[in-house]
Amino acid sequence: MSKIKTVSKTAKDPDEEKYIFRLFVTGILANSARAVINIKEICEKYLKDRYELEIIDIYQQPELAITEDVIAIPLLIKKSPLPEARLMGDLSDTEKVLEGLHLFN
Amino acid sequence: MEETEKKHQENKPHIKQLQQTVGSGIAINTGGLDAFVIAGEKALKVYTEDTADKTYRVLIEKMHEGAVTLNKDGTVLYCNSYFANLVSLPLQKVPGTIFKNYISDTSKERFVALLERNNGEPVKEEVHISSNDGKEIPVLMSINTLLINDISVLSIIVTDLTSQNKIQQELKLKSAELEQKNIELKKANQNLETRVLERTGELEKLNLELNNLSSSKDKFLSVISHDLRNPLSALLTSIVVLNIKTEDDVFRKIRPLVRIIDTTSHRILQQLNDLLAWAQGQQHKTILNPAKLNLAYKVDRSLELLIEIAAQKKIVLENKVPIDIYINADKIMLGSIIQNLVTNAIKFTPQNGLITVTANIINHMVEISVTDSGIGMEEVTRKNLFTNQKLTSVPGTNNEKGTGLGLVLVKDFVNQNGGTIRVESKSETGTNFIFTMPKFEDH
Repeated sequence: MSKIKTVSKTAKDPDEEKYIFRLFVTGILANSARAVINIKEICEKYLKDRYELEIIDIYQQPELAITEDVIAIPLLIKKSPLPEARLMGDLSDTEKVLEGLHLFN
Repeated sequence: MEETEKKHQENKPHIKQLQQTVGSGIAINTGGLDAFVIAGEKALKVYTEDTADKTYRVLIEKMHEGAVTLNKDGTVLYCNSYFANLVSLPLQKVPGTIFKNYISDTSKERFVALLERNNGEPVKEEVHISSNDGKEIPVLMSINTLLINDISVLSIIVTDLTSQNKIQQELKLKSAELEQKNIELKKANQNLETRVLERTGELEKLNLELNNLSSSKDKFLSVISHDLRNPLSALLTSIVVLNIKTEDDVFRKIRPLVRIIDTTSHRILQQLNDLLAWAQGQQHKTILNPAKLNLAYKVDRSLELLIEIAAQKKIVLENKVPIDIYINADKIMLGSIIQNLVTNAIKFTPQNGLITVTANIINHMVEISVTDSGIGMEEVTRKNLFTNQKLTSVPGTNNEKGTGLGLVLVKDFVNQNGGTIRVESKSETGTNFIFTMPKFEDH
């Protein structure tokens, strides 16, 4: 069943650190949905097979939101590699997202 | 001053909006509002308090069906925990994945076809999904297209059919079992029917053979007794001639012998008649002609025929039947019954005896008794009296011989006329035969 996992076991470069994202959303609300679509696109395009994405509905899993001090939705947190980075909004401006996540350093 | 006034006028609408906002804030703090409405450029924007939409949201989150929304390229945007459980993944791992990957290989084509069919109209289809732990789960998918805030999404409701299918399968199995049982039962039934038919056929065949045997036996008896009567008649005629010529000395000497021949011959004739009557009765059991008969008269006619034989043993025959009794019976059979019983009585009554015939009415029947002052009979003899299982003949007081057929014939005739017969007897004190006949009644 590995095919349905978002993490590929055959990373292209095993030395390169894996990107771990957490996206906090609210159910099926518009900005949340847009955020899901956008981050998915960005990850597939720039980080294919090198990322792990968890999408957390704060309605259904509020306990995960509390540990991360979420104050506005949608919120994307880059957990790894460090430093941790946070972005709010629907993530529709790809350039800003890439910049905010320090993907071009 | 003028400038201040002007600015104030310019700010008026802003102040109004601010006042409303502040008021709303107070209302929201006290729980008095459900939603904020702000007129945007395109449409109204509704900002609700958490509790307002909660009902619908929780309905989806907690319902016992999988709920999933997909982007138009098939990426999962949202799913409830029931669906995550169904595919055995943590809830946060499902959004962002490609939904088609959850459909099992055997159902993929059907799922793609289902998506194509969904042209704005809701569609439904049974497919299998593969869970992360390798299970194949039958589900019903209901797919609908929704437009949520300008984003076109597919909403999918996933119903687990496992238990439903299980029940259906069990039902099918039970049904098949039942059908099998039914077939077996039918088979058994058919076998039984065949066997019954076979047995019935065999029985019918045996019955036919038996009937043939029986009727040829009866015919044989009938022919024999008939043929034997002719030479006997010749003998009887000769005896009459001999009796006439008794004046002659020679004949006077042989007179006792002639009398013995005479008696014996008559007895043989009587027995032959019985045999013939019985054989004929066996052949044509149903022929019965009941008629109104005066009992006393019929008894007289029967006794007349036996006076000679009785006289030889100096036995008195007495008819004590009341003159006004009428019965409904077959004339020939009644004669045969009385003659047989009286002949029988003569046989077992010593010299100087008395034989009495009496009758009385009991309800709708007439009870007729033939009583003798004879030697009576043993219990064993009495028990076997009316059966032809073991035809036995006891010699009479003058050593008279019999066929043993007489009483069988009597019982047969009595029964055919609707009566019964019994015997009361004790050794040395005489015998009493009692039979019944239906009383003649005017209707």
